[in-house]
Amino acid sequence: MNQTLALLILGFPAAGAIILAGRGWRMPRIVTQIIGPLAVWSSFIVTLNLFLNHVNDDFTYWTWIKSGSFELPFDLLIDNLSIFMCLVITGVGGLIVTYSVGYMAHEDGPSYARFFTYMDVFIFSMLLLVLAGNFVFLIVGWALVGLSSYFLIGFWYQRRSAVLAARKAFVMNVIGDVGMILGAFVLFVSYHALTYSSVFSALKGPLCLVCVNPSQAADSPTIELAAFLLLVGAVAKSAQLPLHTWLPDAMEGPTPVSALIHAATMVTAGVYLVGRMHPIYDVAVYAHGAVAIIGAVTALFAATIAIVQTDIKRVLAYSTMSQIGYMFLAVGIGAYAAGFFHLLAHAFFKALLFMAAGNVIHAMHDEQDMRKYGGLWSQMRPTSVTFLIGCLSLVGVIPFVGFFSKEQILGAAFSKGDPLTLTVWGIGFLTALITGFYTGRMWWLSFWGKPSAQRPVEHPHEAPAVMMIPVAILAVLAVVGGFIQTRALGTGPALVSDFLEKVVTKPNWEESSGAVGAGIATMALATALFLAAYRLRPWSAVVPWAQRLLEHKYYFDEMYDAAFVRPMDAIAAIGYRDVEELVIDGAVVGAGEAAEATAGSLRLTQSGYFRNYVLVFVAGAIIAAVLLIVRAAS
Amino acid sequence: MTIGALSVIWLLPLIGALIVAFLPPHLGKYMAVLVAVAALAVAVYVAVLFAPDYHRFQFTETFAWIPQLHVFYRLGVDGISIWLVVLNAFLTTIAMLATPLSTRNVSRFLALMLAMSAGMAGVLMATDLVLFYVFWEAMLIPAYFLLWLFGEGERPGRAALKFVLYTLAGSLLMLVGVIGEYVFQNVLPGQQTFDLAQLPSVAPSPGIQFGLFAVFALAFAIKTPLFPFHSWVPDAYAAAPTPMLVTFAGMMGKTGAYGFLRIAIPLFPDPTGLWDWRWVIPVLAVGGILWGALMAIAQRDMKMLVAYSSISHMGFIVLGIFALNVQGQQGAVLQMVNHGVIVPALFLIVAWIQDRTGSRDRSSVFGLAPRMPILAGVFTVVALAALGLPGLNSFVGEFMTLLGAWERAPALAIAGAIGLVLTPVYMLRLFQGAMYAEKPYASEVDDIHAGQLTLLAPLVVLMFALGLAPGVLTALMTSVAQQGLAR
Repeated sequence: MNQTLALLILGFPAAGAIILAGRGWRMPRIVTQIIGPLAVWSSFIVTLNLFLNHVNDDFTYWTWIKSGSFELPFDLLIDNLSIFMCLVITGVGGLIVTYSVGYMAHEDGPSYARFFTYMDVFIFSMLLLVLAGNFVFLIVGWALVGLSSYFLIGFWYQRRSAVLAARKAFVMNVIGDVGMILGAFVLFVSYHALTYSSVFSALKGPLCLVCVNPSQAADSPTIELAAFLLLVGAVAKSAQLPLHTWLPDAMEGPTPVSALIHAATMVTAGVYLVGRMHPIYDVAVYAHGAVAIIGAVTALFAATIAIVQTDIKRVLAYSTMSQIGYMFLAVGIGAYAAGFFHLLAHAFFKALLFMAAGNVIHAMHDEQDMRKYGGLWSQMRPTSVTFLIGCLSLVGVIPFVGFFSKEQILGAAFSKGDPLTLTVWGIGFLTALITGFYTGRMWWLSFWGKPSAQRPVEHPHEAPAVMMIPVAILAVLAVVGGFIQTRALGTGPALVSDFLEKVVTKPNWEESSGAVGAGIATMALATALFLAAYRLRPWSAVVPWAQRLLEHKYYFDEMYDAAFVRPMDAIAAIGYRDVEELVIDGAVVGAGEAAEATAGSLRLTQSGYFRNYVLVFVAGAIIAAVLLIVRAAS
Repeated sequence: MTIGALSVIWLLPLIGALIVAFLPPHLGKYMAVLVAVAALAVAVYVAVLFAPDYHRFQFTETFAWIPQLHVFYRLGVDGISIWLVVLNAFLTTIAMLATPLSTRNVSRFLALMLAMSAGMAGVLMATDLVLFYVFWEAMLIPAYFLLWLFGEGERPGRAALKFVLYTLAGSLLMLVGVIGEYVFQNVLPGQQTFDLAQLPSVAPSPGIQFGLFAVFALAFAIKTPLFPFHSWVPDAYAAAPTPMLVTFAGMMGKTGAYGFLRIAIPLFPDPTGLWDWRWVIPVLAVGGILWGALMAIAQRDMKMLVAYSSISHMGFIVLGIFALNVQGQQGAVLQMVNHGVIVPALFLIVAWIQDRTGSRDRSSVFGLAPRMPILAGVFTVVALAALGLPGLNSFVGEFMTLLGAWERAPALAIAGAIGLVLTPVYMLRLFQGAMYAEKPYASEVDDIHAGQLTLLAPLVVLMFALGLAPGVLTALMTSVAQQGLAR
């Protein structure tokens, strides 16, 4: 029963996608409007059922392949971590898909159905990623998520920029996939298995099957190598440095897609991966440290770029990168549950921000430049209020959900107190302040003050109910969500930690007394900067070189273009012209012409070439036969 | 003497060819399809009755041919060849169906195609070295005439000639190798054998093996094609008519890879002299993966792009074979099947695009998706399968071959994996370039019709099925009839 239910979590979105792909564009619009979200909500209900029944199992369905000692089933792992992720994916995802019913309304029939097909594929892929019970299907889900983002980013394929952004996202993601594939190879060669259960039990010692001495498995170069290779995948999918360049370009997709990529799915996959692989990262200390450092540096890096962005979606995109950086920081220092709590909080407020921004973009006739907004507070009150809730949550204002989750991460880093964690705490502290500033800038610029003279719409319309209700639900969650986990502040429940720490490792250090004070002070400062951003607006003229550096996103795109893309094309073109045609083919043609010249001098080529070769062939065969017979006779 | 199922698999298309050649077009095509389907049915029948975990050839047929020279007519299949025999029969059926009646001299064309299929089936089923060689040469003859008489482009004759000369050069050397194997095998005089099941246990001394491996490997490398012996491929594939490419690109190259697996590795287990060939070949395979991908990136002609992508993908197969372990070699056989499913689909799609737009130049074909939504949908799946998307069939083969390569030498797998990153670059440029643009394609063009969709449907279904349950294929690969091969 539960085995079937687990499969149904995947089955509903898959079925939805197949129906919509096959027949959707010929069916009336209402069918698409029902099937698209229904597929996701059905999945949510099934997940909820498994959650309420406390199901914990590894269900095997069929043998995917057996090749010598390499045997791999298709299995789904249902435990607290995968259920938690599935609830976020289908719950927040369901709200986003429902919202899309309104947002995409002006697309024509085939495009409308295509959009919901892609959305269902996306949800399916992400669910497969978190439910997979072995490395191969993890990679399959991993790659399908990359594929879905490719489809959705390139959804408006009439735009060349969208097509290019889609390809860029795909290739970047494939780099990550390859890292994961190689990581799986390392694990297979070391442990002769690729299911989580066998690899992890081999790592944990008591059940060690292969290694003679359990400590051999721990902290060896092999496990570090595997952990680093898996990290390549995590970094690519979660848009962390240095494989982040696809994420801002991914804003080419429709806004609900951005919400889906940034909140419920995709970019959180890297965090999930590190959490799922915690037995590996618990022993691979260098790779684990790298996770924290990458997260912290990305958090700061992205936050600085967000300061100068003028496109509202790009500010949100960089803030996502930055917040995912916090999650990496958390799981990187071993505060797994804190990282996942922030993942949940972020899913609430980032989906909220993107969808509220979508309402604005809709009302502004697809204008995304914040400098051309202004004064929306009085004209789009419901959207403005929800957007403000999202902003305050992002900044970490007390008592919004972002405060509790971010405080817990910074508190954990502060309390652990070794040089590495204190460093990342410092970076996290700085990032929190910058977050306050750029969020404030976005808020004041878009919603406050007088309407911009360049605003495309004089009297914007508020979004319809189908778009407003999901946003409102998320706004409520962003306000009250934090209260499910307040124990980091000394008292109250810790539902997320209690639930997840049955799977992931508990932090092995005590909360230090200064952490709460430092956290509250940090968030107070960030709130102050949020308010101060109203006055500090024309800051950027002060340091023009920094402005340029940030506007060019630290020149990463230019560097990659010069280091990889152009050399690759040049090598291909030169290689084709000068090596392939001249040398590789030239040698053969040259040999042929030499043979022809020789043959010509022997006067054997009177009537075409082929006869010659038949002659040579027959002659050779005769000689061979003679040789054979001589040998056989002797 | 009774004729067994395996003899039927190659005799049926050959006899069919003789009849089809003299039939009028309509009847000829019906007959050709019928013959191909019948051969496919027999091949599937063999696969269904095939027993796994049995370490001899199955469905064997043996009778004396030239007993004085110890040459026998020996046929048999094992886990390595069985799926390739099925694939050959399957692709032959697709090729027959894909041949338009408007082809000039269509009956002759179909007859030559059937003859080529018979030759390839023979190569895959022969378990006697001389018989293998005879089939190997025999499949060349129809291929040559197909390219020469039915080739496209400006100088099909030249492409045909280049193909024949290049491959003949290799196979004549192979004849020397066959003789050498006879002369130098490690047995008492008078007890020589050409039995492929026996030959691994009577291998000559390593120095001789070194030389013999070289001549066989050269023939196989040219046919596969292995970098840098691939330069006949772009010309020949560009000249070949599309239905021919279904089996020519989809199957004939595999006979080269199959030769490595069936002859070169088991017969010469220690081919070391000046160097060890078992390290040279996989390095060339990796070179081919990367070089083929780079050349594909440089192409403007869609057909040439697919041709180079095929060269790149064949590199994975050879790399898997020379991983010399069970994952690598089973992965290689899987990948042969996968490649045989994907490459014909790509060539068919490119040909249909050329049909509609009159061009294969990537710069003049764009924005077809709004005009041809069905083609766009199918092309999406095929392109994704070709670029090795996990979940579809090609991923399985690439994963297994690279896993095998990693077990042998991680450096080989890492270099090969770079190919996985390059593939989406050219495959997406091809797909997006043809399908998307700011405006739809200038003139109204028809979408592919139902018949064409039906033709692609089995290929697309296989792309999904083999990706989800590759274990069905590997289950039979446990039956390996020669020592020296991994099982």
